[in-house]
Amino acid sequence: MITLAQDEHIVHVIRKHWFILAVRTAELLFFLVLPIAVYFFMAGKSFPVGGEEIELTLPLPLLIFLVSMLILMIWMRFFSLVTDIYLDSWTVTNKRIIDIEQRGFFSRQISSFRIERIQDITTDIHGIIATFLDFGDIHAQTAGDEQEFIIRGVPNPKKIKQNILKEVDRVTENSRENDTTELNS
Amino acid sequence: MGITQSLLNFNSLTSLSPSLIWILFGVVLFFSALYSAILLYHWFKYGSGNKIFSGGVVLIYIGGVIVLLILMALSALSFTS
Repeated sequence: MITLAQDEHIVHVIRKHWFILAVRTAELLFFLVLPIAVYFFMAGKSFPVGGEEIELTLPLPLLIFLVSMLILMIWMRFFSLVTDIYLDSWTVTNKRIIDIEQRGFFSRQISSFRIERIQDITTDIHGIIATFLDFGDIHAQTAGDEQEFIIRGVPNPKKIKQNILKEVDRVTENSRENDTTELNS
Repeated sequence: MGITQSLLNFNSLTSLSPSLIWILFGVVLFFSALYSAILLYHWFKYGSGNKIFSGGVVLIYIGGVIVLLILMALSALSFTS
């Protein structure tokens, strides 16, 4: 959970595009289908091993047991992917951007930077699918230590960029107004 | 019967040790419980925002794990009996 300051509120939560999960799920499905396909290809056929003919056959309950075990492993891996993708996010508040980078279960990096420190935001949309589905990377360059924050595979990167820039403008204007008021008083 | 043949023929392998399938089931049960506990901990600790979405995901996950474990237990029972 993110702890916000008293006068701070969440403006936008940016998460990865569904296509990123779809690609990884397709990879998992490949590992599910491959052993089953290999088994059905080999089942009932004889193979010469050590001078003897061996027939690979499994009784139905054992086959169900092994396939269920395989599906269970894929199921758990799929949900760890969902967790990974869901918890990997950018939270834009009216004061700062909080970058949460989740890598597996036991690696979680949280960095935040104040919105007025943003110097430049660039979007990067690569390839036909990304262009067609409108997702890509956002790079935020901050002032001072020249640190760059990146979130990859987010939906509507251009719109998000505009929203962040609007927040930057609003914060910059507010601080200017405050400076002017202080000088006048 | 050679080792390779024993390994390839699962039927004879399990007939040598009928409890092998239950040991395998126990190992899977232990690791799935451990993995689920870690996953749920992450969802409850770090999952922010939409509680309905988080709850739905957790329910689907747990439901799937339970169904698959029951299927495994029933097939193991059918195989060993």
